[in-house]
Amino acid sequence: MKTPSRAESLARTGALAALALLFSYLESLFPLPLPLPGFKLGLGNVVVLFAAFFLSLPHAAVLSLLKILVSALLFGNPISLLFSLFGSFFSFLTLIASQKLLRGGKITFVGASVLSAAAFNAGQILFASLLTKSHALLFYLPALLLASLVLGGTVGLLLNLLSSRLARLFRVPDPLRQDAAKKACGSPKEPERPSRKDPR
Amino acid sequence: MKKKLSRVPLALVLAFSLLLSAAAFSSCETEPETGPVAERTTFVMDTFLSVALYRLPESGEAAEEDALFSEGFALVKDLEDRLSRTKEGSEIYAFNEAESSYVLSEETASLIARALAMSEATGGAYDITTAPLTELWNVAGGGPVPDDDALAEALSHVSYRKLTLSGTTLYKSDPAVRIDLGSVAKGYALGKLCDFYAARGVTALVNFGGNVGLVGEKAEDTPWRVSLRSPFSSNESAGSFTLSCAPAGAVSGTASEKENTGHNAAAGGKTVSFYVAVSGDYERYFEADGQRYHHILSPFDGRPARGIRSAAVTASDAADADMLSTALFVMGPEAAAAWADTLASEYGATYVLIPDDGVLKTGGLSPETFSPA
Amino acid sequence: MRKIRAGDAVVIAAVLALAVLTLLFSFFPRRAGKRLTIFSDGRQESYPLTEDREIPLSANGYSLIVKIEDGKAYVLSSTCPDKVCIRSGPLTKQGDTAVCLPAGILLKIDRGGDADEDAVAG
Repeated sequence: MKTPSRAESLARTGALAALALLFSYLESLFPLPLPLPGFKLGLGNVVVLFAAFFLSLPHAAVLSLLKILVSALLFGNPISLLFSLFGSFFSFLTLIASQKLLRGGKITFVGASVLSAAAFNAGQILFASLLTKSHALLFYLPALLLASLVLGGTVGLLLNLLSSRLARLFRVPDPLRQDAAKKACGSPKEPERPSRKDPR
Repeated sequence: MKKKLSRVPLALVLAFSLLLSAAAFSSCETEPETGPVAERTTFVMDTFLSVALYRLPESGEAAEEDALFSEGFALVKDLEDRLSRTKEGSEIYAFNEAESSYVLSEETASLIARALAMSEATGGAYDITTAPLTELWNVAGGGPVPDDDALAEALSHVSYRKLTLSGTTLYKSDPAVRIDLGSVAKGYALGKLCDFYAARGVTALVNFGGNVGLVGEKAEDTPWRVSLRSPFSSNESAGSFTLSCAPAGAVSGTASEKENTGHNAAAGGKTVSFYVAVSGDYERYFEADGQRYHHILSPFDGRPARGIRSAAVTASDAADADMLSTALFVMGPEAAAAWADTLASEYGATYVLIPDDGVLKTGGLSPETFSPA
Repeated sequence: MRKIRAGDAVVIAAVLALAVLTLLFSFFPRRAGKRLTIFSDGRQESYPLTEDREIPLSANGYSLIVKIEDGKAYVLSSTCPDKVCIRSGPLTKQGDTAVCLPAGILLKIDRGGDADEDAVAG
């Protein structure tokens, strides 16, 4: 597998970070229907998800942290920082698991995205419950989980569709192709023509 | 570079786990609340006596704390020895066995005088001569339900009018008259114990078989919160009392302003101690044929009083509260309601009655003092 | 269109199941609240919902006014930046909460006297 050079890697991370910040900014413009200050839609999470699969987990981790810190500084407040931390932490845990599962051919981006979104939201609710020491906020879980399902699923499907093109763009193996990971070093698996994207 | 960075997620995971557990632990801690500094429980008068000391006078040490418990418990145990119906050496036992009279101690005599006065005031609803009934029903032993003849026979010896107190000698007009102080002994003991603590400037909460005694102020501007057990479900509360006393060690005033205010705060006339006594059909009972037979027997028909499941009375005198709760239970909702005003003016007492239908009837209590569940 | 794999279905099913499960839990009838407890600055104060009143509060440099009216409690006004507390709307049932995080103030409805009873009589 041809690994991008260090410079490329840094540049990409930077670009993604900027993208993540953009998403965070967009998030902060939308007041949520939930009376939870600091609660996030998790749009920026998509970028982290992307980084986990198209760059690497460590990159995603760094990206996640950067995003949280900077967006909290710029757009949020100390409490929203904590909400993000909690949500991102849980989400990241699922990313670690998703990595293995996706590479092992068990799931696609749909599963990974839904898991990541669900974990992010559940993490935030958990934090809010701890904060208020009450079970009342768990009331919001069903709706949030369903939202994660829908939004996460949509994002996942999109990524599924775009996966090979994105892979080409970033010059990494298409994560969805199982054998891509197995062919460790050597020439990148670059599907040249659309007809090669045959479903498994 | 890849190898170095792969440690990053691991470190992150660890850091976050620590954060998570810290948050979890911190949320488990309840808000710091004023609680007792020491608490001990003993078994006496056939029930649990629990003493919780909240504040000791300035010179308090561990040794003194120990003495507060042991002396307090000893005080109650001594009363039990003297007032028990079943213990052989007790004055009550001796009176019951006597043919026509018995000389009592001053303390016991004055307690009996109060009981007789209560009988008068309640038109006989409160009556300590119910021992023959108690022995017949044997609720503690599980019954069985006595037949009508046995009941009538026992009932024939029941009436407070068969007792006469002269000085400290108690006379019975019928040799088969036997008395039972079960409906006042605990209250009286509770009062005496709380006075003991009040005299020493101790702030305490005593729970004696469901009768609660509050001594002193829980904390500055913090009232005591006492919840009332629901007779329908033992884990649930029927409501909550919010009660204030004057600080322990303060000059204890005379008994409360006898006003219908709900608690002793009228015109600043707080007493150092305050009591909540409860009589319920769930404390001691046996079941037969789908019916519950409880231990509060009516002196009128000799059977467990029906209509009320729980009667709670608050007052600044513990014995009064105890007797009143029994009296109201026996009276039933209508009679109790009619008696409410007297209750307030004569004894400075308030009540909460929970009848069969579960609709609480209260007298003399404001929403601040008692809020139903 | 890339096919979804078996694992995806499992994930979707699991999240769905969790959503349903938590939904069932929230159906436990929430009882009407009796009392508003305000937690602020390490102190707590309670007010019955039965009596209309306005309660001014201030902490951390922010001021709020809490109003109890018709058995409901809500934040009438607040100088905090995000006004989430106001948007929380009226609180009526046990467990309903509203929070002003900048001020560190929490409003909570409960049945009164439960958690902080000193003794049980009866």
